[in-house]
Amino acid sequence: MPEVVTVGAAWAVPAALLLGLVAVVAASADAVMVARRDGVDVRTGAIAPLAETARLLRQPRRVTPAADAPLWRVGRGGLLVAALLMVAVVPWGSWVPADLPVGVVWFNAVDVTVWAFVWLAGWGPNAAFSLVGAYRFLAQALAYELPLMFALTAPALAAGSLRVADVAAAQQGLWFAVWMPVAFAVYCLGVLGFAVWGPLAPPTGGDIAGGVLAEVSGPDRLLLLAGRYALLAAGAVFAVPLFLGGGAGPLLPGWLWVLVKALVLVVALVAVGRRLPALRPDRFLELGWMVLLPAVLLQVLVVALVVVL
Amino acid sequence: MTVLADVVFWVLAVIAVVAGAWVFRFDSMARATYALAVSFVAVGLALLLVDLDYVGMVVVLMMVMEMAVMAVYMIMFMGMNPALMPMSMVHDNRKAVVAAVAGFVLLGGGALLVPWPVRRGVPAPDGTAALGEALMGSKMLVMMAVSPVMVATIVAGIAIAAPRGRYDRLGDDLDRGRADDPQPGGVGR
Amino acid sequence: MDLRQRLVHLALRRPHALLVEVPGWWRTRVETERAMARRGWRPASSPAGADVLVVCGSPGADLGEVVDRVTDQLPGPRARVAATAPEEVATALDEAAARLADERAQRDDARDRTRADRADRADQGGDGGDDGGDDGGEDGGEDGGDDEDDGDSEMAPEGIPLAGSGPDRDGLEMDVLNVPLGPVLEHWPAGLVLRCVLQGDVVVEADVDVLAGGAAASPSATAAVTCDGAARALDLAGWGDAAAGVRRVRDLVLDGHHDQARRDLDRLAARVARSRVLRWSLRDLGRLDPAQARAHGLPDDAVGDVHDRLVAMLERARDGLAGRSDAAGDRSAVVEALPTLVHGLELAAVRLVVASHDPDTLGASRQERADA
Repeated sequence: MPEVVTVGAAWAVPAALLLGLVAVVAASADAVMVARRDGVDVRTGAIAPLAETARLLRQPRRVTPAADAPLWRVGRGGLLVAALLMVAVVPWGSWVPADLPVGVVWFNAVDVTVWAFVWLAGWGPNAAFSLVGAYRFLAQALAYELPLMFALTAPALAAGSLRVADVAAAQQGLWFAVWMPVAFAVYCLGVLGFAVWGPLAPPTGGDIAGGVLAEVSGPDRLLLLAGRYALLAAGAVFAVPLFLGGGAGPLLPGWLWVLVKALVLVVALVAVGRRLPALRPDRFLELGWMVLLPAVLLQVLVVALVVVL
Repeated sequence: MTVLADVVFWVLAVIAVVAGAWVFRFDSMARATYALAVSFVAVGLALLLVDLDYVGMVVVLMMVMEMAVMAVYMIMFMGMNPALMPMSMVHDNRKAVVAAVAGFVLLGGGALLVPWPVRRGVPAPDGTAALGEALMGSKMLVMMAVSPVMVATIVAGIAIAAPRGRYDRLGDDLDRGRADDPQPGGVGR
Repeated sequence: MDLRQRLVHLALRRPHALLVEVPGWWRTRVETERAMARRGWRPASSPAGADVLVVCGSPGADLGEVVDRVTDQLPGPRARVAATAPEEVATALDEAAARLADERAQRDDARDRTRADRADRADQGGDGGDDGGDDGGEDGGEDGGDDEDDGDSEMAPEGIPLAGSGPDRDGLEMDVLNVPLGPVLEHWPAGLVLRCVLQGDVVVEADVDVLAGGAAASPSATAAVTCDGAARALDLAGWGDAAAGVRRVRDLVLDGHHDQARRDLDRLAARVARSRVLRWSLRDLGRLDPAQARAHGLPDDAVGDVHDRLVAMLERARDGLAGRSDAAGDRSAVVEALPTLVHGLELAAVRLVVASHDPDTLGASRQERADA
């Protein structure tokens, strides 16, 4: 069993801060890419997360007629909570906030709660476009979730453990991303899916006036937008022990390697996400079940054969 | 540790029961569905207390997913905006209450009154595997036979219920190059 | 500078604006978009996400009423400004920024609104929302002797009538909801209103209208207008980067840099035509055969699916730039055909089909006026 120290609950704070850093970098990277595309000073892009926060903090909360207020509130706040729970089981080098023996399943269970939160955020305001966005998310979730589940299985199978630290330790020499490319690609697509980002952003699409985001303003909107970036960041952070060798690397301490790898991956996700058209949910559903699921099952079979032989 | 575990157990138990009761108190489909989800999540987390980490997490995972999908169907069949139109979540109230209370008393009483055996030996290192062995060890053949039957039932059910079969899609001789679908899918079968 | 001022200062680095284009003020809207991009302002997709409402052009009575209602939905701090010519845009945006920065005025505005809201709620009897007809008997109710059911038996809780129901495309009965698309909607033709009857997110019935403005100057640069239409379709297909590229070509054309525009457009058109994801995503949407297109009085390049029309649109822009016959055709007839074209499609497809036909709402409203 590789050595990781479960640190006290207080250490959840630095873990949350590191997650926040990755999320802010993701948001900045996106705004910088837009600024470069539009030929505007890149610095306005770099401070975009800050400016956006200030803008939304000035606004009041918005109420719609006959809204389901409690459920709406749960949905809006949930995304950020889910992202924090995801990184709770990630070992930062040799220390981990919560060393669960089934960390991989924990991550999976938390990413499924995003189904509930996004749907509730769209259901709450009692508005047509929001609700359409909410149902779009469920359609897309049905398409990405099963492939994602099996993509998570592959590294755990190769490591022979569901404990995240064991999975990270099993990659000495060769990263799982290298010899399980299909699982890694499907995992990244799943991350874009539960972060409602890039090609899988139709639940918040401009064609339905922002969908799930259509009726929220002020701090509520800030929570939802921050939640999306936090989920993207959490997906990138979790990919490090799962596929990218964990904290292993020369010179730098383990936790810094985890951070560096997560930052590189999150910027890559942002960049690739920007370059692709939307995968429209009605098409993506069949793709998920007919192409991605068999492909990732084959990947798991290959991994199983490698482990047995 | 044991005190903490006790506290956690009681908190989770109360959440599970209260959220379960709210399912019938709420007058909205969405709220009732997610109250049920909360109840199940509390049960799943309670399983972590007896070191069944895997089973506990899978309960949380499956139940949240299931409730999300159930909300779709409930709302689909019950009308567009039950959030607006309050509707009762109970049917045949009196009999249901009697049945529920009787069931609770029977099971709860059983759990409290049965003389539980005292532990001999030590707990298995892997609780999940041990539980699996205990539940299905001797019946593995039956379990393995049941799963293909269940899958076949699902497939057959859908095949019977589907309004359009492959002859509608691909022509009487199945020779149409591209299927004729009202809503084309993503693979182009 | 205290914290509050610093917050305001920071917030003003990135205001979000919702644009309303009145038919005929295309050039003003384009100039607004460009000025916004230069200042680092962002477009908003809904009133809830907007700080500023920019009305491009002078709206007629109907459109003006809608714009008033939309203004009410801005969360605030808010500013509504108008520009009726490209030259006025810069001043209008400056004014909006100044109004957003004026803390006192915004506070007063917020207070007045709360008061007006309360007064509204006090004397509102219970109309409002969309008319859906009555529900054919909420059928959760085979409830044998419930005492708490049917407390309020009218089918309009909070004054909003419940949806009615009708047969859906699978032969089942399903609820219907009336949802208008437009006229204030991102990536949507100016002044167009498509009143849709929805089942879920599928349009089962639609009715079209154009809310016109006052006397308007007509757009001139055809290639630029076509580029703008293509960018809109690309945005709706979720490909913001390609859309921004095509918009840049539009701006180059407007600035007279035709050579650069031609080179960029060739590259972009090739990239769009090559993208397999886009092809996969738009294939078979809103397919029209030549006979159907003729029956609706649509131009020849309206044939095919959304992807074909998008590629044709970019081709048309290239022809226009190269000085070849810019066979733009008359795109006003498509407005009348829209209800048939979007029938039975879900909302995302409806948006893409409308954008791919690039309807000329100004032409349609003029024709209507000439007929009347």
